[in-house]
Amino acid sequence: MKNFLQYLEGKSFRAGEPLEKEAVIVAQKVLYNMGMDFIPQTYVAFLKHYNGIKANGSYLFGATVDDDLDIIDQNEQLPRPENVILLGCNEFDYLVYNYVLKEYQIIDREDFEVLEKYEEKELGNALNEIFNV
Amino acid sequence: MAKGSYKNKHQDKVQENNSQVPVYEHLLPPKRTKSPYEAKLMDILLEPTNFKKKFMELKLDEQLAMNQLLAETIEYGKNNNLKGFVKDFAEGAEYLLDNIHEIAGTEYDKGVFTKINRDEKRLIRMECHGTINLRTPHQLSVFYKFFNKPENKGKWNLRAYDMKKSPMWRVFMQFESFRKITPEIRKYMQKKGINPDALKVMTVSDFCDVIFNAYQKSFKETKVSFLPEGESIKAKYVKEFMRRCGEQYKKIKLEDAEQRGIRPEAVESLCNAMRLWGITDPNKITVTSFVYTPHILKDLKKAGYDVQDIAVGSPIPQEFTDYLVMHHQERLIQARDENDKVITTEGLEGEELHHIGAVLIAASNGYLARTNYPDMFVLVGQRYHKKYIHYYDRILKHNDEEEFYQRLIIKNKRTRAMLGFGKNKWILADFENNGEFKKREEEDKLYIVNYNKMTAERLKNEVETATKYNINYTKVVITQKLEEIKSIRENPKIDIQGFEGEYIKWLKGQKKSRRQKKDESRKEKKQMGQKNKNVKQKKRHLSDEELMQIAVAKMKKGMRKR
Repeated sequence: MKNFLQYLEGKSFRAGEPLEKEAVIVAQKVLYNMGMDFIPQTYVAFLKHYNGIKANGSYLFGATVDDDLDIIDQNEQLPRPENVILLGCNEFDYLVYNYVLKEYQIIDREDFEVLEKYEEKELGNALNEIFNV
Repeated sequence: MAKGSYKNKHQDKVQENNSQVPVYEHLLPPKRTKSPYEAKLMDILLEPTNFKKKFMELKLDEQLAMNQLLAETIEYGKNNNLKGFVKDFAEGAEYLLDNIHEIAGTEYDKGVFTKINRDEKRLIRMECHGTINLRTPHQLSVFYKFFNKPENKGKWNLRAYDMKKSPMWRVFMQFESFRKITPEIRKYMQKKGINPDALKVMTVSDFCDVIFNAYQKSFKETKVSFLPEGESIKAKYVKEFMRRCGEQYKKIKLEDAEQRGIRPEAVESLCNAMRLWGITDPNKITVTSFVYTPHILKDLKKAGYDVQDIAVGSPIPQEFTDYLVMHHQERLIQARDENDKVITTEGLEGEELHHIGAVLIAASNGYLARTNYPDMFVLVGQRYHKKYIHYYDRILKHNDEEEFYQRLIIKNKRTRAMLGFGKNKWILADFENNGEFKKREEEDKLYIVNYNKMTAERLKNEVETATKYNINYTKVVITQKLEEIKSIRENPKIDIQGFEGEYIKWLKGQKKSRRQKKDESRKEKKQMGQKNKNVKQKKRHLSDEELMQIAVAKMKKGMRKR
């Protein structure tokens, strides 16, 4: 993830408000009530740096009041396959966390085909893949 | 941002018992997407006369929420045995949703399609954005890793790098953008001393790694642009759109901005960024001023511009604004409000690129480059794109075999931008009707190849290369190869029967040789173990004096090493 954070330095994008501890709890609770699992810890660690970001048609969701970036709103409103939490998207793909397989996946927005898989520790590569700036 | 705002936003979802049940609750699906506009929307739905007029009077977010509420209600009606008024309400929702599609100029498109390969999808995306990501080692082939080892590198003549002999580069070359960079890639591979034999067996991911390395400017970069700034397919489309339809686009955006209290400078700056760089994201731009202010004159002077004869309040010529934007110096004329606060693009929505035909459908005839043609793109607002245009995307399987798609399509093929619901938000134009486009189309057709056929060719080459360089497959690689064969077999258009049998036989041989090697090394280890045992036993027969001599010799050897 360090590389991705470095990559973001000096780039222009819009980010959500700084992450509140309570906001993570709210997001976890609501997602769980919606039948999903918890947001993975590695992603929460990313949210501590940037609580959701958007630029150039790419989004990484967070626990933020910005509707476009709100992880709850997006998981409610966007079509998604089973056993995953939507964490971000661009014009073509979604970044999801598959909580059954415990891995991040890049999936096609149209047919949900899994295009790339990343272990939890490889979150940086997955973020890099989805965020086109 | 006030503390606890996020909790307030989702209060109704966090509270366990929500006692305030609306009167219309029984009409709607119990598990539905909650929306702050629900009460307002239900007022319309319970009295739906003049629905179209009422719908057009709603704000975009409300319109999108209406679309979702109707779609969920219809689904609920179809999956549950509803009765009486609740049933009528769900059926009525279908009629009202048709009204929305009519307003939007969209209709459902359903059909069977042939799936395109993951690599093909990746190529379409990369060409569209003009960027490539860092590859992780597990994405690279065993051959590419082998040829990248320092001991396997060497010097070869540039002529040895015949890119046409590479089955997978031929897949790349279907796209104009990759054809453009072919000479660079050739030179890079030669410079790096990669054996030209690698070309025949390199995969799409391997070539992505080469392109990434060839265009990486600093080791910190994890994503690189392989085309000059503003020259990607997407950027070129946006620039062309602005050249032809820029005035109409600006007019719609300005009207919308006025209603939403957004400064016209923000719209103008977005239009400039789109026209000059093909950038459609307001978050990435600096809002520039219409007129010279004392602040701006000071900044320009500091940057070395002659501002002596310029009066405060006089308009900044468009040419000068363009010049600064093109040279990334727009900060010098950054717009500020009456209180000297920097004006931002906050609230201004940018556009996203939508493929008219779904990527997988458009490309399923094998003509991949067609997917990124200008007549296949429409610029759509971010929210409209996500929550309306793609809302109805579905892939349905029939008997686990044939795959059907369902999606919304825009009826008028000349639509180049759709900035919301209603005809007054559409921008129409013909883009394909020019010489440059026709030339590209003719050239592209000469490079069409079938991905599966190329993969089969690569696999054939692998047999030859693995034998030549004595490269052995691991268990993981053998599994990957079997999967590749399976995916080719699934394509009815490709006849690989003759090759498949041979290849699987060879793979089995690899498996066998792996097993043999394993047995041999086990045997070797066993023998070594026996040898050591013998030595130990021998040692046991040595006298104390002899053992002492050995120990001293060992110590001396150790000291010499240190």
